[in-house]
Amino acid sequence: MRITTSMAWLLAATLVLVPVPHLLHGPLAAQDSGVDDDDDDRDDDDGDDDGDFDDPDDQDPGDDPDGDDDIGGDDPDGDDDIGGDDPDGDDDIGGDDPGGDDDIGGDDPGGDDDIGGDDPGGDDDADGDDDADGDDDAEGDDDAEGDDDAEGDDDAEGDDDAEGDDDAEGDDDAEGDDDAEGDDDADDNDDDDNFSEDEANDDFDDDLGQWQAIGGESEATRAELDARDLIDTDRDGFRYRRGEFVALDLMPEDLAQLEGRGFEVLARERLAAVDGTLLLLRGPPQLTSDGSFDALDAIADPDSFGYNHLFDSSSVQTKRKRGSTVPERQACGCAIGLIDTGVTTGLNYFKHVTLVQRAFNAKDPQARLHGTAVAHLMAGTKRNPARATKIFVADIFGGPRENSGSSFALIKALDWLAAQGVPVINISLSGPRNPAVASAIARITRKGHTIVAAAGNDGPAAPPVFPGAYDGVIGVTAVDGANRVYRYANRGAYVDFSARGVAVTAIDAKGGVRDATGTSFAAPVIAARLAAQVRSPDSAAAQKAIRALEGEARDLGPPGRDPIYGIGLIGEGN
Amino acid sequence: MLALFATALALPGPVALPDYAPGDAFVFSDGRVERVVAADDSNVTWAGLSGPSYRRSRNFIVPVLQWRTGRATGSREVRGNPDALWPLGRPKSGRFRVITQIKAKPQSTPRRSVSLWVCKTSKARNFTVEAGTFSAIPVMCDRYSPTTMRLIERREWDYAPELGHYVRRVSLNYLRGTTRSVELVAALSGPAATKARLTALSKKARADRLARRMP
Repeated sequence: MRITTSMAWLLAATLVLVPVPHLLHGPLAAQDSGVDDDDDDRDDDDGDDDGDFDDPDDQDPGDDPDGDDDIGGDDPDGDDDIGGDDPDGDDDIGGDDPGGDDDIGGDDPGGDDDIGGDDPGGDDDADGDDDADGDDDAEGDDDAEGDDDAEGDDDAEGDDDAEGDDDAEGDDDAEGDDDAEGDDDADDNDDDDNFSEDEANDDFDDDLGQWQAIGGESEATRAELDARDLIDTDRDGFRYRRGEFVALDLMPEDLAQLEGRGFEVLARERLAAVDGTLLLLRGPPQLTSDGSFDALDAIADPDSFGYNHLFDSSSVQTKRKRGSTVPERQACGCAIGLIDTGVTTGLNYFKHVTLVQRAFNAKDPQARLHGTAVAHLMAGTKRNPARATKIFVADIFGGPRENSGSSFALIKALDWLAAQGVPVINISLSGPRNPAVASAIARITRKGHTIVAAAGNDGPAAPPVFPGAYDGVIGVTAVDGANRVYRYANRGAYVDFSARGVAVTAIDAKGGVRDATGTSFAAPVIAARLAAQVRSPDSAAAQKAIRALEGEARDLGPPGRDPIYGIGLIGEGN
Repeated sequence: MLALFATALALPGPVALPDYAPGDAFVFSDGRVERVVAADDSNVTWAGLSGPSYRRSRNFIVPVLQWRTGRATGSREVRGNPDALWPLGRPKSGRFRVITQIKAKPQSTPRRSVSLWVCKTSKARNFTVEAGTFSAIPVMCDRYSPTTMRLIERREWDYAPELGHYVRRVSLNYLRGTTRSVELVAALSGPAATKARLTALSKKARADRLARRMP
């Protein structure tokens, strides 16, 4: 032991004095002497330090193209013989170490580095951790989307607390505060609770609050409810109503052929502004959704139909901003449309503007945080002396869950807003590419309407989301007060402009003040700026207004247009 | 594949350790999905789309700290300061040792081993991967036999500060004579990182990889 320890000291001294590469003689494969340098298991020449029991870094999951359950490398070694597969039947730990001493550095004379010596085996807890399954909290957690607050949601359960606050108690106090103390919880750790130290808006990126997923559902809850509501996911993982398709202007003979094959027309809408007929179709019961899609694809123009996808209002993060007030700001002085959740029209914040709402998935609009916050960003806090402000709100989320945010509702909403003559429509939603939606958007943009959409909050290396990524749609990303891009903002060639969308002071459906974060809250800045310049749908006027914004934009990031910030940053203007 | 063309940025300054949040998910070119299910100041619990989770340091150069494979469990203890490489910026190097302990089954005697890791960082350069083009800092770690000092393994990461994760990961195993390299295909965050979408991206990544292998 003394000898080996001395050798270890010598080795350590050599390590310090001689650059490591000088000790090396090239890759071991070229000079294998037959001794296993991986001294955890002489029979296992795989070069790991984890023997036969690969750690997750050793996974090689890519050879499994059959789509079975082990995608994503979840079955680390692809076999089930783990556990008892130690070929030599022993769990020897000492014999693999030719030196008989694992204290390679010898740099800890106190001995605690010497796992072979000081801890001869009587104590398995060399690392003080016998809790090999100390990570149990993870597999029981399906809440991977970062929203642990399933109950702190926007109350998708359809109860009376649909105002979009986080008040699980169902408190309906009008003050926009959920309890008498002016605080909505007892502890200081609630992300949803913004204390006074944060009032300076200086926490742009440290704590942006809780995710506000649509309906506030955790992923597990959503999966359960989706199964109940016959909602599936398409090949890209986006949700759609099982067996349902939207189609715009199917040829009559195609429709007849489809009906002959068992397709059923569930709804038919004549869209005046879009200038077409929108169909909601259901595939034959004997076919799967994919089978129905293939049948449609074989008969109809592929640019005319798509799944009846269910869009989400772009998921955002919000945080209550207790005791704060909303900064004074003029209304946009414009006519503008938004497709979103419903808005709480009765709030004092909207007294100086005209709000017109219509529901497209329910009888009446249902006010929630998202739409209310977006509308407030357009409305400001005071009247624009130059011109009245009129905000048209198309609520596509209120109503039955199974159709909330449907493509069918979205296309109808587009048509309604275009029919109102609004020059600019803000869509703070994101979802999949859908040919029928794309077609409707293309039709109304050709008529001079301008569509502004959130770039999405899926992450900087996420695939593009729509409608922001459609040609002709103005995609807007979010930056913080220091002009840094929002961490979760999508990037891509479709990002046209940046606007403040991190820790934006907004109001929720009860009039409570919040910091709101997401590209959803940046898009309205651009939409309002454009709408203030264009009084009616007019392609030429819209182009002129866009060019003016381009000229005004403050270039951020790499010089010139880039996929992170687009052309650059646009301020609120007033 | 993706219409993403993130332009490289000059690194604004020293780059701190990655800051992951639950929900962050990364899809690699071999179809592997890594999701953050929990995070604290030091460690991050990761999981794939199914199967057991595992714990590792926020500092990705540190091998997995705790994992389970069937009935087997493994844990590692780090001696030294692998975080000395951080903040990334100017090229630097560091070393640390890792004591690995594996138990084939709960009642087994643990098997232990020691590894020596020597790491260094280089200057940032542009990396184009499927998820876009990123300015990334190469980080390379070599694992040596603690007894003979022979080079056993090399791992490389190209860390993109603007993304907060590495965009390429290479593992060279000199004992096996193998090299494995994966690139970032996509990253989803927050509520967007659903299993359905991650599964779809994973399948597509695999299909693309198979297509690339076809003659």
